[in-house]
Amino acid sequence: MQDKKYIRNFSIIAHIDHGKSTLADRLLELTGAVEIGGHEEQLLDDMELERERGITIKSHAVKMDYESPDGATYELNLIDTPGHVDFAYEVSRSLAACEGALLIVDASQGIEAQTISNLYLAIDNDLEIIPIVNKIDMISARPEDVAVDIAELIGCDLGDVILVSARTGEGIQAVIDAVVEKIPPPVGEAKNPARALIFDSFYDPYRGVVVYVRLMEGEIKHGDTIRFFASGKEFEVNEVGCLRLNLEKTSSLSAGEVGYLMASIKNVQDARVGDTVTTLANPAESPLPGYREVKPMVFSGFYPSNPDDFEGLRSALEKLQLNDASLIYEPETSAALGYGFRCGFLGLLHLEITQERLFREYGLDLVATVPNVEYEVYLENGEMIPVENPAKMPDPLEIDHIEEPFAEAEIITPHEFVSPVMGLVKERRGEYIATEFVDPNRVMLRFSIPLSEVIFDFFDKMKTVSRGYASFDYYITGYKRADLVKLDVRVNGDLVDTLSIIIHRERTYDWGQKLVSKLKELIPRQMYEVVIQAAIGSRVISRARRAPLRKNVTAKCYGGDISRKRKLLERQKEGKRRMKMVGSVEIPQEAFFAILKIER
Amino acid sequence: MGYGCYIHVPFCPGPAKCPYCAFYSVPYESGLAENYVEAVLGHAGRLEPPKIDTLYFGGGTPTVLDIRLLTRLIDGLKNLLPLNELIEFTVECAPDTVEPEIFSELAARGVNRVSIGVQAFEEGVLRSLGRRHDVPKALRAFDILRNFPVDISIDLIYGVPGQKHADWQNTLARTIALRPEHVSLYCLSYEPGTPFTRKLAEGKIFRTTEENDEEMYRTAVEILKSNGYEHYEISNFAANGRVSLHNMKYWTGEGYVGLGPSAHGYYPGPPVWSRFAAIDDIRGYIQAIERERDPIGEREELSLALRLEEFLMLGLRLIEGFSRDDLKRQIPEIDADRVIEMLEPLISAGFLEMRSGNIKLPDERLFISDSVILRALELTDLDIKTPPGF
Repeated sequence: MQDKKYIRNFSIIAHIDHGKSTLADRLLELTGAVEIGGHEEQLLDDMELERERGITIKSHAVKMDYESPDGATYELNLIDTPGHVDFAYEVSRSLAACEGALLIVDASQGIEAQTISNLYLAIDNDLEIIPIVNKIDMISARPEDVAVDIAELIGCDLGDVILVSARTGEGIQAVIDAVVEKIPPPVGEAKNPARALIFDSFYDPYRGVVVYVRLMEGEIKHGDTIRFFASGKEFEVNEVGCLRLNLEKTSSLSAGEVGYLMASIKNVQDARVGDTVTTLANPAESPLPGYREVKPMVFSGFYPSNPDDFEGLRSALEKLQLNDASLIYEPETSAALGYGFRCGFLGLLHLEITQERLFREYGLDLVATVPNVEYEVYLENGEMIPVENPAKMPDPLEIDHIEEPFAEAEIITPHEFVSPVMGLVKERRGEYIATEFVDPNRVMLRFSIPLSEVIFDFFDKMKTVSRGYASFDYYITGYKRADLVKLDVRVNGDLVDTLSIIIHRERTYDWGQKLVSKLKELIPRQMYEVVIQAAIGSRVISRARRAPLRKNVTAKCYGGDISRKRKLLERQKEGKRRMKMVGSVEIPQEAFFAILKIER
Repeated sequence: MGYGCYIHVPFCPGPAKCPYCAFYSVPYESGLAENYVEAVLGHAGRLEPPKIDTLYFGGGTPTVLDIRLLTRLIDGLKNLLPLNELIEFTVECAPDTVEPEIFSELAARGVNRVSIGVQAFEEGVLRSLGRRHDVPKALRAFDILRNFPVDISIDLIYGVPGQKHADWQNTLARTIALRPEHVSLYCLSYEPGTPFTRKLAEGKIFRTTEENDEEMYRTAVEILKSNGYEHYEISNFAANGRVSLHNMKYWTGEGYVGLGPSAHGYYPGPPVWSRFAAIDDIRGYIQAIERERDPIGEREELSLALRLEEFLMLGLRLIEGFSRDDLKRQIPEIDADRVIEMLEPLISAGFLEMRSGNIKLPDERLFISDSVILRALELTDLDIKTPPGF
């Protein structure tokens, strides 16, 4: 067992692309955890998707041994955090497992909105902040200016800001020195009742769930019976260890240490991030503070392109859920798309990643419906029903009012883009709250905005209007009343249930128009005329007409080649089978995809 | 009725074939042609067909064959196949290959029908199509053929990029003035692998609109019909009942043998119904015959479901459609009444009609026949289970 005074637990806070993963790689090299050069870049992002998208989706942790010039060997536990707002709760739990955090800011880009919100999370968790300006070797770098801004932001001495180039390795030693000198060692006693904070867990098909924990108090060892506070379930520990690049078995984990445990747990739902683990041998009376059940915020219907894949989709979702406690799903049926699942996600990125993984890892081609948030619908009789599927919206006559989730959002932008950014915010029904100055050139705008407006291409739009300079973060604040209606799409009078959306009344005309013209483009000519309508209840607000097919004829069957002609017809028939039938109208799957791409 | 016999002559005068054509052909080489003729005769020698009453030389361009080879081929076939009850003998040709010497030999050997690839009577359209002949050559070819006791069929193409409606009317008018016994129409289609399809993808030519093509088709139907031509199949018109008997076999489920590379054959049962395609490579075909191997590249045995598919697909191409008795005769194993019942939704929606006991496409639906046929196949599908949720 390591003497606690030589343990340092820390994480890294950074905006996307500010060099978090590269800096982590350098720390691993300098402490000898990996050899210099001989490895893939960004060691901690081990999902293919993480490397591709340049974002960390899951938390990771690694233990490094550092031999200090004073002769002592320090145990440095780096807990890497997810880099996207969808996973804000996971970030907060990772931070809660640490005593300190490296705050990395890009020397050219400066402080970004996400840096600030994560910094606040770190400060809330009483972490010692080590400010770092990274990428000082870039031509566009302004390390001194950025250092001043950081010093002001966190209220430290300018001299405390470490200038680093993770790419060249410059300044990395100073980072390690600061970790050792400034971050306090953990407190907590091995003899106290055991309390371990779960900051991540994943499912291993051979060993069951591997739970990443930080021992706050007490001790957990092989053979202990442990209990999870949230689920109340008990398991017998069959392995504990520390986190190297691979798992390294040890005899026990005690207060202050970071490591993993395994206990033949079959389901990640039983070892949720933020929950507390205790032992029956030395049980704690209460869990650590801060646990909450993560609720999905964004919902979408997932339908297999090929109806035969329905069972395959079910089993793939089951498998993904083994590893993703925040993914929820339940079967639903659509008249247009057949059998599928209503799935709930933490955010749009989580949705996209899930869809991408279903495609890559399970070969499932999906039609996803327009994502939406969960609404609270208050009926005339006073009852409130949550609605996460537009198709389930009650009859308008029964509805008293509808509330939708709101978020408080922060945008950091250079002065010159304040006006277009505000324009965008207003367009998205945002309400301005305040302006704060971040540095001489930039301000932070705070406002309240419906979540539904944020989850669609808001981020991309904001990048466009600010030429890439503005950054953005948000957190959900609660529900507010809004003038919302359900907009339906009908083809030749038949409802296309999966295209219904819940939308603000003022936006219905614009959306209806775009939707209807897009569909007109995408629905192929058919034997009949097809009339496409967007309607609120029975009131049509937009309409387009697809003229009937005029030509589909094989001119000649030359030379008696009947098979060829028949195969052509069979191919057409195959193509038709992939279409979705709504009444007598055939709608190609691309039409359902295209709706997702319509600009709001 | 006897069998038909189709002989594919896979040669074109070259150097390049027409840029829209996807049928199998190679530039003419006399040595290769010689071996080809022997191979076809070798192939014919292996067959034991029932009597054959229609013979059709298609291509390619059959008349590009040296006349010595052409006569050798015909004489050889006459020795090998039961052709003594031959009633129709068609040879396809291109206008620039029509010479009196050739056709006197052919007529002497029983050719009584010539299908000529005129395509258009406008120089501009002919150039767009990359044809080797011009209008005077087409007229000269027609005049030569008229001196022989043969029915003449003229092939025309419409829906060509740049072809104006007035061009098409002019082509139709000049066609009618010549009074051919038969006219076939062909709407330009973009076949995979052809230069036209490539140009289309590169944006060098533009597809005509559905409306344009339909209008041209309707114009042709109207003009030909009002000038005494019977519209008997979607793309075919005949004066005085001179329909193509050989082609009718394709549409009515009769048998035919196919000789030459890529030629297709059909042997209806009972007990089995099979389609064949010869190897679609001239050297491969010749080699197979020389080495006494099977010259058939593909063969397919038709299930009951496929026979019904083909019956509907082909029967509905005929303007008079098909009768309950036709269906009973061709597929006795199937409940004809049930099939016709299944087509009811198309009849009540006006996409099919019942006329004097026949089920047929109404005239105004002919140009979307593939869509209607597709729907008919879906309605009568014997194999497919309905997918869940629909």
